[in-house]
Amino acid sequence: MSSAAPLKILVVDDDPYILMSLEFLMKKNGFDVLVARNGTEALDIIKEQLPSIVLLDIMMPDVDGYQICAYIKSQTILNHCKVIFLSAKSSEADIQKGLDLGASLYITKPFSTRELVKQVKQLTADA
Amino acid sequence: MSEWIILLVCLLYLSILFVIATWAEKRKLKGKSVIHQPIIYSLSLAVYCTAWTFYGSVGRAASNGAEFLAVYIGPTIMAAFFWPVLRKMVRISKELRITSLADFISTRYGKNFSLAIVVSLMAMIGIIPYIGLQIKSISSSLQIIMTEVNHTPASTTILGISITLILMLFTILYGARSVDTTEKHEGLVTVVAFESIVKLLALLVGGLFICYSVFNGPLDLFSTTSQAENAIQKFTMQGPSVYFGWTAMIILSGFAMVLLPRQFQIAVVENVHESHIRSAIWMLPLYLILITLFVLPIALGGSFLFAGSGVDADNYVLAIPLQQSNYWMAMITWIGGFSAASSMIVVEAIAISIMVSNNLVMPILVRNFSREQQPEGSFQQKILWVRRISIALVLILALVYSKTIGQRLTLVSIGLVSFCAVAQFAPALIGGMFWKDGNRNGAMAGMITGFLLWGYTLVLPGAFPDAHFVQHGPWGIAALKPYSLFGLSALDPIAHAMVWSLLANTFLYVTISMHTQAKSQERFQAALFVDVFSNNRISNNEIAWKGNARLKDIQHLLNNFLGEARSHNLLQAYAIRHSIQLDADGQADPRIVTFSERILGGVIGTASARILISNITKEEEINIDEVLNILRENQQTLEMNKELRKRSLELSKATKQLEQANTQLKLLDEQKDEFLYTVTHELRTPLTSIRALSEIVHDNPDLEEEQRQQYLTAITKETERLSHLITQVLTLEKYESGKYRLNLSAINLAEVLHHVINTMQPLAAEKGLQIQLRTAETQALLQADKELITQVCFNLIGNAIKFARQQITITLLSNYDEWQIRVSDDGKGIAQELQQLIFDKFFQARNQTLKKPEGSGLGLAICKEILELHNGQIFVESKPDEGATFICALPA
Amino acid sequence: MPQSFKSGHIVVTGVFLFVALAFPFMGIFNKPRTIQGIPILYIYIFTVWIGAVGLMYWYTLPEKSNKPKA
Repeated sequence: MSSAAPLKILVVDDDPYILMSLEFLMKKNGFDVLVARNGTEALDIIKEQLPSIVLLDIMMPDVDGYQICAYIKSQTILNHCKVIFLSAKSSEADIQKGLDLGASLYITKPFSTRELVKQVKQLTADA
Repeated sequence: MSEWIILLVCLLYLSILFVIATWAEKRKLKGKSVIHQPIIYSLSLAVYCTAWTFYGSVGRAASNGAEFLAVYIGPTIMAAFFWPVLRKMVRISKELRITSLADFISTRYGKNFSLAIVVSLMAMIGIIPYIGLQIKSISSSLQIIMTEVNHTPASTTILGISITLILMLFTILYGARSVDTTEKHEGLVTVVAFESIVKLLALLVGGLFICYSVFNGPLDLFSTTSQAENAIQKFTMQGPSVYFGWTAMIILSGFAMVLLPRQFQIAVVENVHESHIRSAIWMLPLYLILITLFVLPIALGGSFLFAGSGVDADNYVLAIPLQQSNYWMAMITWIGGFSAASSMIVVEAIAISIMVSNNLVMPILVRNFSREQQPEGSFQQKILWVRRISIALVLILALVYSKTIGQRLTLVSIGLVSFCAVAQFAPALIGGMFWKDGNRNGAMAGMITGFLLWGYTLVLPGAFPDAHFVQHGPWGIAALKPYSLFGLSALDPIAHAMVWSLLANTFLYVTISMHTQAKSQERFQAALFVDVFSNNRISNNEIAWKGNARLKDIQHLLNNFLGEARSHNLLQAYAIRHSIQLDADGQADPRIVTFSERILGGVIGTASARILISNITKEEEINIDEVLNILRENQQTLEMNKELRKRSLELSKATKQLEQANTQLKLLDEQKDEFLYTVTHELRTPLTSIRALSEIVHDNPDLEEEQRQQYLTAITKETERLSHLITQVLTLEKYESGKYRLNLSAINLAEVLHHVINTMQPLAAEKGLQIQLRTAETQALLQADKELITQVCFNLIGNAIKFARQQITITLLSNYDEWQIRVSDDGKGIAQELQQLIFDKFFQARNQTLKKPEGSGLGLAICKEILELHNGQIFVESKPDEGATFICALPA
Repeated sequence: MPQSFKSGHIVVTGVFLFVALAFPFMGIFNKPRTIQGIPILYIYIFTVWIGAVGLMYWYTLPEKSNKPKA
């Protein structure tokens, strides 16, 4: 980790417990954590805060994760922003669709927290 | 035992009747109605057994052997037809708010007024003598006991009259309580059922007394008495006249079971639930068997004991215990006979008085009815008084009859004469329920002719047996002799009268109906009656009325008869149900007019309601083509459906089956896949939190205690969610596989609901919600799996708690032959297009946009499966933002 | 949908009762004979009657409601 300002990471999930654990994990690993409980909230935060990383659930009540990812990838101002899908949808087709939309990673639920932290760190190091 | 003890017992018994009636009415107010039990319905139907069962049938058995049994076998055969016939009568009467025989027949034939009058008069003339004879039986039986006790001839005229007056008071109190005659007379029905128990027990006890205390058991009785001369000879029926008499009695009594005014009153008007008919099919015949069981032993015993002593065989029931000096036993059997007579008198008086007041008096009152509103309640009071006076009038007429003409006649003959009179309603009434082309002209001609023939062949010669015209025929024409009309001499008088009157009646009804045209209104009514069970039936709400009516006039009219509050509620409810705008100063919707007419019909009879409505509205004669169109459209869709179904069946039966099997398999496969996919998905979410949180707790030993607790609680909660989900999936699989065996027992829905609501109350209170249970049913009985039904209630109320804002209303009601549980919330409602889908498995999960974090998404699917296992259904009614109502319908 | 029972069978039972208790059939037992002092006509009528009511009771019992699933 550099001494620069911590990276902004946005966690989006409609399940409160998953959200709770992700928030804890990312904070502990030195990120500046933003949370969103649904798609609309997520879009608002993305537009305002321009996070570097988005941990994105797919199935949500209003706007789904695919749409959010597509939005991020369509904005030049968000070029630096990396998307990691965290989803219970585990079929080949779902994963392919996520990656095709430009996501950096697609992790299926349930996931190992240690693995997830490792992957996120790796991704930020690459940047 | 002295005279005053007899009086005391008599008074005591009468006051018990009042106490029971009051008790039943109070229970009803508390919502614990007594008459919701099928057994009460069956017992009250036994009002059929009158004092004749006690006295006349014993006399008849002593002289004619088994012949008296015909009068009980006939109703048994009719009971076998209860489901197709009586249930149809009940359904029609409930839908059209019919409250008497006269109403039934006149409504069927175009609400025809003259028919209503004819039927009412026929019933009055045919039945009042019958009531008179019951009154006579009370005082003459009392006289026998008094005479024996005092050893001097006693006069019981005053006593007989006072008992009749007390019964009149009772009838008025409990039979004319409310203006709406479609309301049940709870107290009265309960008392009638009670008296049925009393008379049965009395006759059984009396029979056992004679078998065991006079003889050494029934076999001894039979073997002793059969030694006597002629005893067994009497026990065969000899000659065609007896054969026909037997068959005629079976037929007449079968009809009487449903057509006597008192039977119609109890069986149709007082019926609270159609399912009660089903129990009555066997309970009523069983009752009849039990009550006749000892009649023959009593008759044989009496003939043996009193051989040559001149004791009237009709009085053996009293005479045998009196001869044995067992006065208490005599008192018991007397009470039995009295209970039989009194329940008959009371119910018959009510039934006749409703016809008299609604069809003979009300039209005169109503004809001059002004449009202006009268002081609140004044008209209702007037109606009640008309009905009370009618009751008094009927009973006074009967009393006068019993003290004059009736003195000369015996019980049996007059009973059968009445049976024969009401049998004249059979062609028009029963024919009208199954044959659409039967019309008013036919009914009128048939009934009047049948009735006149009845009078000529049965009443006149009965009243003047020695007159010249009876012996030799009027003007000496032998072919017109009343007892052997046109030379038909092989029959006994009853069979003879029945053959001629019913033949002529039916013949005229059928032929005239076939050769004349019915009016439009009448055809419409005919279709309402005949097709009452059909799927494509014309609903009551279709309009067979055209014209102009001001809503204000209609409202005033209803206010006068029902009171302002009640009529307001009724109209509002109807308008809401059918989405009708009530414009206070404007025109009334035609449906409102027909609805109001129906409501009024329940108060003052269909025919009077017709007059009133036509008085205050400008009606246009509805075009026959319009009615025919309504009928034809119904007919066409019906036939088209039939035709289509037949063809497609013929053409593609085999291929279709194969295809079906194939697609079914595919579908099942797909469903299975989708199901598995959704299940695994639903399992992943809680698993994710559990794994993530437990790893955090494990990897971070330095966590603050509070946070640690929070995470551990979350893990527990998610684990619970997981296991709940698994249980539900397994349950659903079990129901769907068809392997689940219902554990059926008689359950009471009201109890189940109370239990569930009590359990859920704290949860609702936590969310600040009110749960209200609305029902008048306390005995919502049905065969079902208690555990499963309870689960349905938990699921539905649990859902309602999730979505409601303030209020949850649960309603339990009976709708013809099903029970309905309605669970309403005031949440945001369910969009039209989703109302079907929500019962699918994992509907929430598959529709991401509606995903809710709570619940497994299987609750409603499980409810649906459970209801289908019970042959019931579940559906939802909802408008966005007005809440949703889940409706479970379970066959009763 | 009401829980079904054999209402058709009940009607047939009624017809049967009518036929069995009318002439000429009843004539078979219309004889001045007794069993244990009880006239046989009386025995016949009650036997048929009770039997028919028993059948009617039997037919009002609900049919098995567990319909096979497609």
